[in-house]
Amino acid sequence: MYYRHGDVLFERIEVAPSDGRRSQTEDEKTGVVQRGESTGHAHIIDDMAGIYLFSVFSQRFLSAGKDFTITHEEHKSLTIPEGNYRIHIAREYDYLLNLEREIRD
Amino acid sequence: MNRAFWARNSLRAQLPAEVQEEVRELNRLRQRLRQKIRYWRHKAKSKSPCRLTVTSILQEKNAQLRSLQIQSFGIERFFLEGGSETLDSCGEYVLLRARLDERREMVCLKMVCPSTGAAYVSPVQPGIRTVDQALDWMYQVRNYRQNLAAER
Repeated sequence: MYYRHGDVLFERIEVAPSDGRRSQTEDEKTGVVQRGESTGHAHIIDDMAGIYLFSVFSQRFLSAGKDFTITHEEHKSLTIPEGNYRIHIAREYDYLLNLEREIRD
Repeated sequence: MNRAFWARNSLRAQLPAEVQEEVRELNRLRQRLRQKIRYWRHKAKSKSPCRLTVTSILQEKNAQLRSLQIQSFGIERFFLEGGSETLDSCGEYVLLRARLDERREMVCLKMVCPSTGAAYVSPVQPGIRTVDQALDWMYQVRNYRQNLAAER
């Protein structure tokens, strides 16, 4: 099951990766899922109580003990049901450099 | 100067005068093309304003130059202003292709933001032929449209 909020896609998974490999950035602690480089706009989780946003190497995950709402300056808010999610950032192909990369806005 | 250079030059000296002139002309053209490519590569990277149009881009015969001019003009603008053909469409999603030459192409997915209603174009991997393939590639998932529960 997928939930998309702009360039961010939440893929529902059964089990989140084990604790040992988890790490958390400052942005992840405050609920910032993705921050725009040029606009400064961000996809932010409103209330982080009961929500754990973390990374395992370069892949990001979210464990939610309750439904949560994600907001952004340009997009309407989206409420996602509780559960474990893998987070995907949309990618695009750079024809100048001939490589794929995450979309930056 | 290396040995290959002198060998090439001595060979060239043995050619008839008109052939030598053709070789010189070819070298001049190559030099001019290299300068153009350097110029448009800089323009494409710096995204500085330019006086290109979709027609002038499509009239450019050199594929590398054309690709750089599209980058400089803005991929989104180029595709939305009609320099492309439709490969597939599904609801509001449209997969577009611009031919750079017989072998090279640029493929983009046109999407409409469900929140703002704004259309935007995202370049996807060359070789993609359907909207579903493009969406799966973009979000690195399988069966995106079939499994989508909500989007904003």
